[in-house]
This record gives sequence, structure tokens and C-alpha cells, in this order.
Amino acid sequence: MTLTTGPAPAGRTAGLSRIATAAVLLAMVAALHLLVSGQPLGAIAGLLDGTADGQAEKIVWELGVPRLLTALLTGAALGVSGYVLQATLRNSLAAPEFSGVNPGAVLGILGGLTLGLFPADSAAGALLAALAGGALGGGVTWLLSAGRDPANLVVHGLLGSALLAGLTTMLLAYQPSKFGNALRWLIGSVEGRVWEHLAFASWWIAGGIALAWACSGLLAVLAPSDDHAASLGLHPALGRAIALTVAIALTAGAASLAGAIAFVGLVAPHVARRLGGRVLTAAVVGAVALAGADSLAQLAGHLLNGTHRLGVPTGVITALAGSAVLIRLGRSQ
Amino acid sequence: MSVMVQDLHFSYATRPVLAGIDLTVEACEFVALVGVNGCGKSTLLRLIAGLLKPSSGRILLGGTDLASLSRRQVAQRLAVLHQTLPPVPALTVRELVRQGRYPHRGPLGLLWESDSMDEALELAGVAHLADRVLDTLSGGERQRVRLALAVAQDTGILLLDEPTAHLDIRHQLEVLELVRSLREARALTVVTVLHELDHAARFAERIVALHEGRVWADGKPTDVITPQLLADVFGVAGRVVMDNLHGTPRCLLDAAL
Amino acid sequence: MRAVLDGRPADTAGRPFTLAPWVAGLGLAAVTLAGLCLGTPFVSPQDLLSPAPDSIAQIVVWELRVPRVLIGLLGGAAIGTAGLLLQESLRNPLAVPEMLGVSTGAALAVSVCVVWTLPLSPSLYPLAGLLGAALGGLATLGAARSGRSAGGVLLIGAAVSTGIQALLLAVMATADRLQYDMLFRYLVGSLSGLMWEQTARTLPWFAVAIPLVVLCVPALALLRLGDDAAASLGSRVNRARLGVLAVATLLIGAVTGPCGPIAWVGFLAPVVARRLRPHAGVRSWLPWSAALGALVTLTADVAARLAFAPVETPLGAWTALAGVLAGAVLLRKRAST
Repeated sequence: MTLTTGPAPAGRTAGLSRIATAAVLLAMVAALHLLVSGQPLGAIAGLLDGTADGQAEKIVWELGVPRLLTALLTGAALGVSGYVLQATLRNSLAAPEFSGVNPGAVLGILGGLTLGLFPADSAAGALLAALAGGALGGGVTWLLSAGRDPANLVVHGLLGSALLAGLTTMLLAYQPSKFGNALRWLIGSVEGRVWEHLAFASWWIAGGIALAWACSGLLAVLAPSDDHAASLGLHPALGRAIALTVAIALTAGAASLAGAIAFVGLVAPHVARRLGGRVLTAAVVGAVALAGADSLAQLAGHLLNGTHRLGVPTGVITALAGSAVLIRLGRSQ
Repeated sequence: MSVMVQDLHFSYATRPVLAGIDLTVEACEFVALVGVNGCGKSTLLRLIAGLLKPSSGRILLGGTDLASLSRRQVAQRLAVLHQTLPPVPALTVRELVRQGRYPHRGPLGLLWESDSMDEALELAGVAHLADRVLDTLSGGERQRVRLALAVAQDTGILLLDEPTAHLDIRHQLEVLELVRSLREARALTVVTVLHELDHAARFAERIVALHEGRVWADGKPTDVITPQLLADVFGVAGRVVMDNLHGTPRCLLDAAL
Repeated sequence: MRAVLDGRPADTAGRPFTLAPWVAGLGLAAVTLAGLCLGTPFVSPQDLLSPAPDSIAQIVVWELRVPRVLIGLLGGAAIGTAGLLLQESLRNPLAVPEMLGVSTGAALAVSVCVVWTLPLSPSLYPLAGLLGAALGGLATLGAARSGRSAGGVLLIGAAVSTGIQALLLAVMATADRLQYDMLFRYLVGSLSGLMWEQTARTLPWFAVAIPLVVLCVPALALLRLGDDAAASLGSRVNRARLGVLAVATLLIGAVTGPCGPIAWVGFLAPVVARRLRPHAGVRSWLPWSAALGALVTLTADVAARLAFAPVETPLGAWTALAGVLAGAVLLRKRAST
């Protein structure tokens, strides 16, 4: 009797080639991301020796690399979170931004910042606030849609998200002077994160993804129906609670890094399933998607050269791409 | 593994569904539950599967009280084929059958044996479909795959809720024949809800007819399938003839009463 | 009529409903009066009728409060009506104006004018808003052109809305602090600072919209039957739905231009109207939605002006509060029945 996580022994080579493909893809998108950052090629290559000497190399090391890692981590977290939500809620439109979790997390961060609960550069503070807000947002959606057709959940999620966005606006109305700082969280941007932010969030997100991976059996069993799950020995309510907690934790981690990045959590799981993959594929797809979107955002920023104080926020690119996907979905309904 | 139901009562809110059911299914027996819609046969099946809590009474699986077993322990003893399996996007046959190993998972739910899985695919005759996406299969193939899932679960008891619903006649026979051969291969105790009386008589060793929440008749097909049953339980005037080839009774239905 | 047909005694079923118009009318009158009198300076109702010419009170009332109350009444009524049109044509109580890209379109247009300092006089911003609203609505309608089901249209509306919202935030990200203050109303909705000039520019749109709304009633009756039934009566379901959506867009755009999005009124008014008259049809819900929309908007505006005086709170915050609370209660009640 063999114990394996992969399909059959015959599938092992397929598994290896998948891993290799993922690694190559990640390396390519990382290289692209660094290349479009506008720093000289020599500075990027110079980092390969392991030390950051020279001004340009320092800039790449202190700004470019953290930005890249932020994009990868956030994308992975959102992709996995979306995958978990879609499987648990049995709805291919369930995504962090449609289930109130993402808007809630942003509200939490902005609330914490506005009320001065934590300093603007505190990674742990932002994470805690995002967690509380994400749980609140998920709870609101849950209350609105409880006891109803799960297919209705998305509409209720949009409603809950609108409510949270309203609360966020009220918060901004309370202190309009902080509006400029708040924008970064509202649109979602991976810019301006430094190693200190990453140090904390990366553990959190990596842990969340590992947990989601460990739950992949649970997710698979839960996906068809409650009866199916119960017949296979899983308490549906308990399984759902565990999975949703993981999803909220991951979304909160992503939000504490980059704010409200839309649509990665919606689209990445679709692509992952299309590729026949599960949790880890969703993570890779999410990471590649967001790093790619951020490369585009950087390019657009160079093109618009200087008129933008913030550059082009990544969230705008993902939101526009995502609405195109959503329109196609709506048309096919 | 035997199933024992003792003085089982159940009601949805205020509506009583089962009013005192006593039933013993011996190990390796093939029992069909028949009755009109709403007579409580699916409810009884769900109660035995531990998916509902009885109002009163006991259920024993292989001598152990169901109430004292955890969900996972129940799933190790008993597999259920529900009426429908809602579609899951991009779910492959192999992925679904692999889920049968969930009750036997290791710590963290990570390690799933794959040997018994391949065996289940072979037994149910769906090994060639293993990498297909479930939604692309025909109704008959889907039922076979779901039986493979139940086999992979490696239990002593198999419960089926109308396994032939929505299938054409050829696939109905195919599925029931598969159930019969699986039962022989794995020494399964089979309890199935069936609508088609002829199928019940043909495949089951014993038929239990439920009527208004009680056991109306319980015995060999030749004893249970009578014009009296057709009239009293199903509200149909009919005759029962003997099928000499199989030695089982067949119903000729004449009119609704 | 229906109650009698159902065999229910007409007087017990009818009593609360015959009272309702009076309550609503009185409420509207009271809120209008409050909107005109309260605030600094306080003007007593007697002084409203016989104002001292050229006094500060007279100027404040005539130049500031009257246009504001007028816009509040008409705008609220328009949003309420638009909400009913949307909910009925998409057969979903959650089809709110905010989900059509119309209000966000208006906000985007004005933000672009302000932030990129286009050569446009500020008095024309509401017009730009109207244009943006129309474009946003057109984007949704265009994208939904081949949308098959009501649910699909709703999804597309949400998509367009989200996309425009992202663009709006991107534009805002480049604004400076002074510009934020100007743009803020387009994020939260507000009636502050509306004078006769804007009011005069908005009123003609309502005049255009009213006959169109009346024209929509038969189409709505058709759409209520459900897509399949309606389609079997003729294949023009989608066209009818798009027509109704276009009228709703016009109404919302006309209001969002000068006031910004007045959140949730378009959700709340029709839902309450339907609860007040559960057996009536669109014909009866239409005036009720309009009246309730006006009532809610004006009440919220008085609250926005006075609650934390002298600081004005955004109107949208109050309507959102009312809408979400009432909406959650109503939806839950309906789910339990």
C-alpha cells in the first residue's frame, strides 16, 4: 500500500512537470516585473551576487524586490482565498470582493488608521484590523444570505460590499483630510511596501496557503453538497467554518499588504480549475496574474510619466480586466 | 455488517413521518424499500445514514449504536448514494472517487491511499473514464462512477436512494446489475430505495414496503408483491404474475383506484 | 379590490392602507416645512408666508432652502421611481441604481473635469455629471445588449459599475487636497450648495422623464411575468427591458449630476411601497415609490444638515444608514415568511 498525495505513481512525472512549469512562469513574470520597474539592467543583474552595493542596486533591493514580492504574495493569497470560497460556497462567483470579506478588511484598515488604533506603517496592526474587518464583512454577508439559496450569495455579497463601502465613505467623510492616504487602500496598490511589511505578512500568507493546502481534501468533499460531505464523514458546518476562516485570514493578509485588489480572487480559481489544478495552482495563477498586472501598471505609469502622484495603482488594472471577465460571464448567463 | 432499526420515530417539525419502524437487515442482505412518494422511505435511509436525528428509537450498525459513532466512524461503516450529486466545475472522475478515501484519511487529511481507489475504478468498470470530467459523462456513467466512489469508501453497508432515477431502461438494469456484483465482490449489505417494483422483485432478496410511516409488509419478493400491496399501498388495481425465467413476481397494472 | 376578491373583509384589510396616503402626505408636508424653517437662521412658519423683503431670512429661504428642498423632493421621487423600474424590470429587489454604473459614471465625469482642470466652468459640472451618468448607463446597456437573463444584466451592471469605480479612484488618486473637497459629494451624495441655477437646469429632465415613466408601465407588467412567459408573448422582452433601463438611467443621471449618488433610496422606496400595497400592481407602486423616495431623501437631508450642525454630514451616509437597516429587516422578514 503506497501513501501518496499525487494521483497515481504514473502521474508523478506529470506533477513534476507542473512544478517546473510553475517555477518557470513565476521566474519569467518576476523578471518582467523587475525589468519594467525602470531601473538599469545592471543593477538588477548586480543583485544576483547576493549583495546590494551601489545606489541603483539598493533602490532595486529596497523598492523593486519588495514590490514584486508584495504582488506575488497578495496574488497568491487572493487566488487561494477565492478558490476556498468558491468551493465552500458552491458558487463560481464567490470571491473575496463579492462576499464582503475584502471590503470589510479594507474598512477595518481604514477604520483603524482613522481612529488612530495603530500607526500607518505597522504591519501587524494593519493585519489585525483587516482580520477584524474581514470577519465583520463576511459575517454581514452571511447574515444577509443565511438560509437562502447559495447562488443568491453573490448578490447579497455585492449588497454587503456596498454597505461596507458606504461605511468606508462615511469614515472618509469624518476626516476628509486623510482621504489621500486612504485611496491607496481603496483602489489596491502594491507600491510602497518595504521589507518590514513583508516580513510579517509573508509568514501569515504562507501559513494560510499551507493550511488551505492541508484542507484540500476537505474542500473537495465539501464542494458537491452538504449531504455528500456528511456521507463521507465531514460535518458540513464545521468544515465550512474551517474553510471560511482560512479564506478570511488569507484575504485579510492580502488586504493588509495591498488593500482592495479586485478580481484576482475571482478569476484565478477559474483558471486553476480549468488547468485541472487545486489550491497550489490557484496560488501560482494568482501570483502570476497580480505580478503581471503590476508590471502593466508600472508600464502605464511610465507612459503617463509623472502626472500621477501614485503612479497607476495595480488595483485599477485588475478591476478593469476583471469587469471585462464579469461582463462576459453575465452575457453567457 | 448488519443494520438494526428499533422503534424508530421521526417527524419534520410537527408532521410525523415515521411512526415506529422496526427493521433488521442482516449482513450481506440486499433489501429494497418501496412505497409511494412521501411515505418516509428516503427519510428512513437518511436516518440510517446518520444524516438526520431520530425523534426516538435506536439504530445499530453492526451492533454499535449509531448515536455513539462520530461522523467519520459512520462514514467508515456506511456509504450513501444520494439521489443527485450537484455538478462541480471541472471535477474529474478520479478526483471524485478519491474522495472515497476521505473517511480513512491520515492526520491533517493529507495522505490518501490510491490502491483501493484504482481497485474501485476497476470494480465499477469506469477505469477508462478516470481522467474524464464528471459533467461530460452520461447519466449511466455518472451512476457507475458514484458507485465507484462508494466502493472506494470501503464500507460494509451501501445505502442507495433511487439509484435508477432519470436513467433509461438499459442503464437502469446496468446500474442494478453493478450493485449486485459489487455486493458479491465486497460482501456489502445493500439497502436501496426503488420506485420500480419489478426491479425490486428482480434484484432484492427482501422487500420492505412502507406505508404511512410504518412497515406495511416485509419479506421475500414473492410474499410481498401481491395485488393487495398494489391496492393498499400504491392505490393501484393490478395483477401479479410469475416471471418463470427469473422466478420473480411481476406487476401488471390495470387502473388507478 | 383584490382584497375583496380574496374574500377578506374589506374594512380590516383596508384600514391601515387607507390611512397610509394621509400619513405619507402629512410626513412630506412636515419634512418640507422642516427643511424650509430649521437651521441657522431659524425661520418660523409665519415668516415663511410673509417675509420681510431683503432680510437675511428671506434670502436664505428663497435662495438656498427652497431650491434645496425642491431638488430633494424631486430627486428623491426620481430615484425612488428609478429604483422601482430597475427592480421590476430585473425582477430582483437588489437591482439598485448603484449597480448600473450610472451614479459612478456621473462621479467619474465630474472628477475628470475637476482633477484634470478641463476648461469648464464649475456651474456646468452637473451637466458633465449628467453626461457621465448617461455614458455609464449606456456602457451597461451596451454590454448587456445580448444579456439573456435578468440575473446576467445585474451582473453586468455590477461589472461596469466596479470598472468605473476603479477609474474614478484612479483619477482621484491624482487629485490634490482642495479638489478632494469638491469631489467629495460625488462619492457620498449631498444637496449642499444647490441653488436655483442648478435646480433650473435639472427640472427639464424630470419633465422629459415623467411621460416616459408612464410609457414604461405596460412593459413592466409584461416583464413581471418572468422571462419565459413574457417571451412566449413575443420576443421583445430584452428590448422592453432595455427601454425601461434607459428611462431609469435618465432619472438617476438627472439626479446624480447635481447631487451625487443618493445611496439606497432607490432600493428602500420600492421595497417599502411593495410592502404597503402587496397586492397592487406597478401602477400603484409607482406613485408610492416616488412619494417614499422624496420623503426619505428630504428627511435624510434635514438630518444631514442639523444632526452635527454647524458641520454638514453627507446625505448619502444617512440614506445608506436608513436603507441598509430597513432593507435588512425587510429582506429577513420576507425570507422567513
